[in-house]
Parts: sequence; C-alpha cells; structure tokens
Amino acid sequence: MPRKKEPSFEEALARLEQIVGEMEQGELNLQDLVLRYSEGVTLANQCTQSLSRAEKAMDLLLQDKDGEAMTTPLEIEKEQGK
Amino acid sequence: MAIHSVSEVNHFIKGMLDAEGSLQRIMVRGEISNFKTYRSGHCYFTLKDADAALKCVMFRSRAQYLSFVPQDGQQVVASGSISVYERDGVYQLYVNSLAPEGQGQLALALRQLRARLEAEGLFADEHKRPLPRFPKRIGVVTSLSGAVLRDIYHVGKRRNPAVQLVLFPVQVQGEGSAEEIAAAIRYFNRHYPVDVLIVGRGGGSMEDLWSFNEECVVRAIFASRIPVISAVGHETDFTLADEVSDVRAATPSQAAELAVPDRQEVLQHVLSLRTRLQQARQHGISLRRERLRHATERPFLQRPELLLATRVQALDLLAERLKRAAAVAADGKRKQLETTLDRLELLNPVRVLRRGYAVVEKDGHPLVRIAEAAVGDELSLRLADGRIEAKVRKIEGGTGYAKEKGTKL
Repeated sequence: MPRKKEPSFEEALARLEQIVGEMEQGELNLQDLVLRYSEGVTLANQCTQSLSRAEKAMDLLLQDKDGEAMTTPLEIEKEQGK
Repeated sequence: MAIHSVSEVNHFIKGMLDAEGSLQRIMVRGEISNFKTYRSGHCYFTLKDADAALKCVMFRSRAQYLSFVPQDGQQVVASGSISVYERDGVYQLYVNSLAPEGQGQLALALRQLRARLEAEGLFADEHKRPLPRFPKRIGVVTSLSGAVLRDIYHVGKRRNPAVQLVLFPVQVQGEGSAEEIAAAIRYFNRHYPVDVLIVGRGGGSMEDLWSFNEECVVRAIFASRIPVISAVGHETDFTLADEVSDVRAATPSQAAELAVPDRQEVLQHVLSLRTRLQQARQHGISLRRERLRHATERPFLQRPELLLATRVQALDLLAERLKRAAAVAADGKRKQLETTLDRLELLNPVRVLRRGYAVVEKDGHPLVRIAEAAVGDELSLRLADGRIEAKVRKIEGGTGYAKEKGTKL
C-alpha cells in the first residue's frame, strides 16, 4: 500500500492499536484480516525501531533576546553542580 | 494602713485584671522572641515591639492547633486574655491562637480571587486538556537552580532519554516572579511550541508559593494552548495554579512521570500489540479453517446420496401406501364381483337344465310358444350335457297346458 509519508510514532501506535482492536473484534473478512495483519506488522516494526533508535536528546535553555527565541544547550547536571 | 501579704496583693491584682472585660478577649501584634516549647507541650515566649515586651504562654491544649512553627523574629498576631501569674507576680498573655502577621489578609485575598476566577469558570473541568501521549519536547518553567529542574530531568530522562527538556528560567518567588512565570508560559505558546509545559517550584511556605496564586499566572495557564502540568510545592500545598492547570502533579518528579511515558513500558506495549496482532490473525485463520472443516465434513457433502435418502424413503413409504390402498380398493371390487357372479350363477340356465329341463330351439332361437313350431320342424333340445336333434310329430295346445304338464317331449 502506498503511503504519503512515514507516520509519526504516535500515529503509528494509534493505528496499530486500532488494527489490533479491529482484528480482535473478529468481524473482518479474510482478505482484510491478512491485509491488516501485514500493515500491523509494519507499524509494530516502525514503532519498535523508533523507540530503540531514539537518541538521548539535548536539553535547551530558552531565552528571549529582543523578541527572538534563543536557545543554548543546557547541561542540567553541570548547572546543578555549580 | 494595713499590711498585706504578697499573695494577697497578687491575688487582688489578678482579680482586678480578670474583671476588666477588655483584657479578656484581646488581640496583640508583635514580634516573637525567646520562643520555647517545654516538654509538657506548653509554649512560652515574649511578644515585643520597638518599645515594650509582653510575656506570653500558650498551653498545649491550644498549641497543638498551631498551623505553623513560630520562630523568633516572626511578626504575629496573638489572641487571648491577660491575667496574672500569682506565683511570680507577673501578668501575661494567655494565648488562644497565633497567626503569622499578614496571613489573615493574604488568605482572605486568596479566597476572594479564587471565588472570582471560579465564577468565571477558569477551574472548570471542561477546560482541562488531555496530555499528549508521547511528547517529544517538554517546556519547563521554573528556576534554573533548585531541585525542581533536577527532579524533572532525572525522572524524565530515566523514563525516556529521547525526550527533550526546554527550560525557560524564571524567578519563582519574590517581586516580579509572577509576571516572569506568566510571560514564560505565554512565550512558549507564541514563540516556541512544545508538546507539554511543566510549571512549578519546590515546596515552601504560603508566602513562598504566592506567585502561583497570582492572577496573571492563573490566566496565563488558562490561556495556554499547550497543556500545562503544575508542580507547585508538595501534596499539602494547593495553589490556584494547581487548580487551573490541566493536570496537577504533587511533586516535580510526579510531573515528569505524568509528562513522559516510560520507554520500556511503551516498548512492552508495542510488543504486546504485536503478539495480539499475531494471535488475532492466527485465531481468525484457524477459526475459518475450523468452519471450513466443519462444512466439508457435513454428511451430505461427504455422501451426497444421503441427501436423497430421506426422499427415497418418503417415496417408498408413499408407494407402500399406494399399494395398500390399491389392494384394499381391489379387494372391495373383487368381493363385489364375486357377489355379482354368484347372483349371475343363480340365473345360469345351465343350472335349470341340470335339474331336468331342456331348452327347445328352432333355427338357433329358443321356442317359447307352440305357435312358433309346425309339425315336421327340425328342433334342437338343449340339455345340461348336450343336444338332441328332434322332429315335431304332433302339436297339442290349450290354455293351462303348459302349467299342468310343462314342456315335454
């Protein structure tokens, strides 16, 4: 199935939950069951991947510089160590 | 002039003071000094102002209801009654209740503000927005130093290192702090969209938390399009910011827990969804396989002739009934026939012939009257067992003849 773009983690998980719910209802015909299954597997893989590849994010210090949002890296443990 | 004992004097003065109504219910403002709590639970201290001091005692029965810990130097309002402690010859204030100076007005102002904002509907549940399930970026409005940021950081990163914290540092108490907090909330909304905001500070006294009761902060939280988690103080403290926020966290750590889903838990969730996916597919297929098997194993499909069997049997039954009905009908007819035959037999002329009669025929026709015959005619006499050819020799006749003699040769 062609997709516009890779869904966000949140969208993928929501769709996966929906698919599992539909399949568990037991009212899909066989073709839809198989289609949903393969879509679900793809989504589950996407979710697992995006969870495991998530890097530790850099935290930021946000300041207002004359109306411009200015961010600088924030190292909280260092800051707290002062 | 009479001489009195010390006891009498002190007793007399006590009586005078106790009789003075304005001293029996009195409120005194002053600064606490020399505050001591005895093992008995009674509290002793002195109230001072710039020029004077007043001894005070607060018995345990009253002191146990204190809502704060009185400290030396603190401005308070004490209410109670003035009386004399006769043993020492001192008068003192017997304190019934003690409140930090200013708290009364502050509490009143807070109640009024709260009532006004509540009437406007700012605290209504219908305005509470749900938190995003998987925020990527969390805005934090608190002070750069202090335990709040550290707690949020540690709990948040432990649950999901990929979540980014964006701190807008503000003063959380003191002059101008409320405006800073409100501005920071607005700033995120206007210039730096994040998925969820945590606004808070660590616990403190009522005065320390005061900024979070200020109307500008309450309104900024209410106006925020970004969902707001408040994390002000600790479980027992409750500010208007807590009431207006979408979710109230008891502590900064809890705010982080509410904001950041645990990656391991989410991973487990995805894995369980994958399992359920597989099971649902398996179940769906085996259910159909079972139905198919059930259908193909139906006896009629296995042995189609069975489909005919019942009809064949019905047909047999009908045929049998038909046969029986026919037999019954035939039987009736046969009996009727036999009766008829019996009756016919009775009429059989042969039977008459057997009894000694004969049929006289001329030219193949039976003779009934003598007039039909003439002398010399060839006649045929039919008997039971054969025929006799005869010739007429003589004809006699007359009435009653046949009756008396019958037909004779």
